[in-house]
Amino acid sequence: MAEIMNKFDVAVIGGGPGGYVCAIRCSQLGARTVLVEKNDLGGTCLNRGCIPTKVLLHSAEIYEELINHGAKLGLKIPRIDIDYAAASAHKDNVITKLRSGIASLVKGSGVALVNGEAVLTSANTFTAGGTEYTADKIIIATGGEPVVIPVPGADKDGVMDSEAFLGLTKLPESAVIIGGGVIGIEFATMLSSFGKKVTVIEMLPDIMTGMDTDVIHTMSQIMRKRGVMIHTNAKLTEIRDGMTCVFEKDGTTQKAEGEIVILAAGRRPVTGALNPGAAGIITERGFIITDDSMRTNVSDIFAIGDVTGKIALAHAASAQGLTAAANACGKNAIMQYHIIPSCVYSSPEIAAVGKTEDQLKAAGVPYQKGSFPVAANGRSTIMNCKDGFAKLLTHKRTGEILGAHIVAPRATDIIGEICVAMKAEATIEEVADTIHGHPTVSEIIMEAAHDIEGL
Amino acid sequence: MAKKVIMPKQGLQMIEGTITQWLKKEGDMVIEGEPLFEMETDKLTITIDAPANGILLKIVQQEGAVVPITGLIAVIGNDGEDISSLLAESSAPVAAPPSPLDHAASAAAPKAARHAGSGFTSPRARMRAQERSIDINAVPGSGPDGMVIERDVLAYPTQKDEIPTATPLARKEASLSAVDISSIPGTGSHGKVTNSDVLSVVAARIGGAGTRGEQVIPICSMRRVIAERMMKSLLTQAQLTHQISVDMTNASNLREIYKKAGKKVSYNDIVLMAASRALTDYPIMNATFSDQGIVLHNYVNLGVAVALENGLIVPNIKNADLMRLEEIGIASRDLAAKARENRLVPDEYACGTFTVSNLGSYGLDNFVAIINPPESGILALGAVKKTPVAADDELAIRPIMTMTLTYDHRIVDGAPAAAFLARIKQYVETPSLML
Repeated sequence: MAEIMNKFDVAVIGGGPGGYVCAIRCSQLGARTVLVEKNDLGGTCLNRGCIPTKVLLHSAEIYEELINHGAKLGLKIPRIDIDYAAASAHKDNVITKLRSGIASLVKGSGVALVNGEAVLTSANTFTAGGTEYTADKIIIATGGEPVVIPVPGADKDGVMDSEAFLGLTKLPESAVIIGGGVIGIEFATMLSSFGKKVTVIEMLPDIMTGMDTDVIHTMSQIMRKRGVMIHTNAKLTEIRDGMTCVFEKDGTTQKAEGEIVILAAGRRPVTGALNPGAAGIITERGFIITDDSMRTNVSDIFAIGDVTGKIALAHAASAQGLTAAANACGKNAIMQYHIIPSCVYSSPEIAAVGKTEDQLKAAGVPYQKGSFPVAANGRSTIMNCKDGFAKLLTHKRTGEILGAHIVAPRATDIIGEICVAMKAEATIEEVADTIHGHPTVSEIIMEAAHDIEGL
Repeated sequence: MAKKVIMPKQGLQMIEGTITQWLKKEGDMVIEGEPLFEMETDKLTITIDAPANGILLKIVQQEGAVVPITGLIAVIGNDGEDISSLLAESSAPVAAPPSPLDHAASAAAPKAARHAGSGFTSPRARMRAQERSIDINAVPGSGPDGMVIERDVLAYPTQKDEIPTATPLARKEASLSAVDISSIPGTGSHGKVTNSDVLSVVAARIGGAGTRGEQVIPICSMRRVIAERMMKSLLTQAQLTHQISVDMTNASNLREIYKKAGKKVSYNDIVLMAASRALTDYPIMNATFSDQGIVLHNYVNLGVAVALENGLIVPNIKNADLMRLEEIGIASRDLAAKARENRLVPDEYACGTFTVSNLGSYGLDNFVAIINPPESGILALGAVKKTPVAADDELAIRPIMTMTLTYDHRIVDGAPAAAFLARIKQYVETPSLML
């Protein structure tokens, strides 16, 4: 009886946005499914990443709005105190609420939930919490974790990774952030919104490498205006008490000081404890290699999410999860990566989908670009924002929408319009000819489309 | 597990159907695929087959009932199975089978609509129908006495609705690439034609250059030799051709004579002999161009082209001009066999002075061959075909073969070449002159 209880059609290892979405879909498709999670449902995104960051950013955004524009808006607030412990507790409440929502979704769909760390013992078996399980198909969704930067002093008190930073109950007065990627920029935004001094140390020539160069250029300017000190082409060599970060830049040695040091310089896959070798799974630097159908080299084993190293975004993991679920349950699905929006919750927000201008140039694609400044957008003026732009890239021959890059308030919300346009294979005419509400931020997309048409 | 029988959608415009006849009774055994009931839409009568094996447990809609598409009609399952949940799920019957009195009345109303073509149409309806290119006789009328009114025409789906949809990008690509989008099967959602569907058609249309792949055959030595010699021949000799038709009647008779005598002789052998004799009559055709001068050979080494699996080789019959007909035949067959079995020695294909090539077995009427250097002429033979000809001012059917001579004008002029060809013809048509 125990053997039957521990035998499943599909086992999903990891209950983050990739894993739990995948498990629910498998169950919906009729598979007897088990979801194995070693910590909390919701994974990094819900517990240690996206969600807590955005909750704290919301507090910071409202604080900054009141401080900067309150008087102008006719809101006379003599003093605003920041009770960061309360903000942190609120963040925990949001997480708890969302987590219980996920738990009821998972249970409600008939997925068996096991709390434990899965260790593969063969291509169809694994142990978790002292019990052995068998599954016809296994889907690995173990996610990622922050990279530990091997510099002297990285283990000192006062040095923390992104997950630890999000757990603080007291706001530091200053911080040095190692890594100018998306996570580093969001943290820099939050701290500077609260009026704290921030220095960002980035090893590469640009912050947010990989984003469109106009986005990087604009956001770099915006960050500087906010008082964030950004050092690019800067390599961290040592962290000393105080905390002082010593770095090499342009052949010179420089220092940056802050009450805390946040290490946000990359993430690596979580596969150490899983023992993928026991199943014969091929990995590369710890990432599990998958194809378009999310299959690994072992025919009955799939992998999704950050552990595949394909694209470390929660919504990409969920989409991969749906693809893997379909394929594990006898259907035929292919994961497509060309329409996945990237969202950065900076101030103003950044959102992008499709190709950057540099990618199109490198591929020799004949393209047209059109843009429109946020400063000319009514809604943005109402929201006291004048920085940013919308840029659209289209194919010269057909008007196919190849990419969109937006720095604007609510950018993360309005990018969806372009995603649908690309998915439905609309051409730029459709976007330009669509009536957009007024006054809205979304009008900048329509105006950028008009710009492409020369109107 | 019980299975629902539902009103199937038989056509894009069908929204409901009328059950006209049940072919099975409740309690009958039905087999998947066998006729179960007959139904009628406003276009036609169709027989619907059973969708599963089992017992026809319940007929929900009786004959005469008008059921919307996907409406529940009956349930097939195992004897004694509980189907109450299936019956409860489906909506109540749309139109209960009419009582005899109702039947007459309701039959009358639809009839009027169906016969709207008998003239009951409003002027506005006729205008709309013309605008939308709809046959107004096909539109059901909802006006008084079944008259077709404007809103009936407006509600009627036009031809345009039946054209499959395509994404805007697909349409743009199709128009730029001059592809007829209505002919492309769509793989997008709801059968939409997507950009990649159009691009596939464009790629296939280009002839799949590169998409169907290539195969590379390494060049073997024979191919290399043929390539070099054929190019050299065309580049160095002033080649042109003469053509003549030859009546093979007497050659045919000759073959019969030899056959009766137990000796095998082919048309080709006869032509070979004729050519060898004609070469001695016209030595200039049996020559080689050299810097020292035109070399006339005092012997005829007659080459016979042999097709091989991946190439061509021309062994030659040494001193063919001295051979008798059957000897030529034996030598020719012997060399051909050796060629195909790859048993030729170099001496057997060197030192030829003239070549004969025969592609008659492929049905060619005639063809032009390239001279085999350092020779100065080559004779190409077509098939022997029964041909209507003028013989003694009368129409006759004769076996005719066309011979095409390619010669090197550097050493042979048109007239002697023509005379040579005419001589071959003479020998073949009157073999007694050469035997």
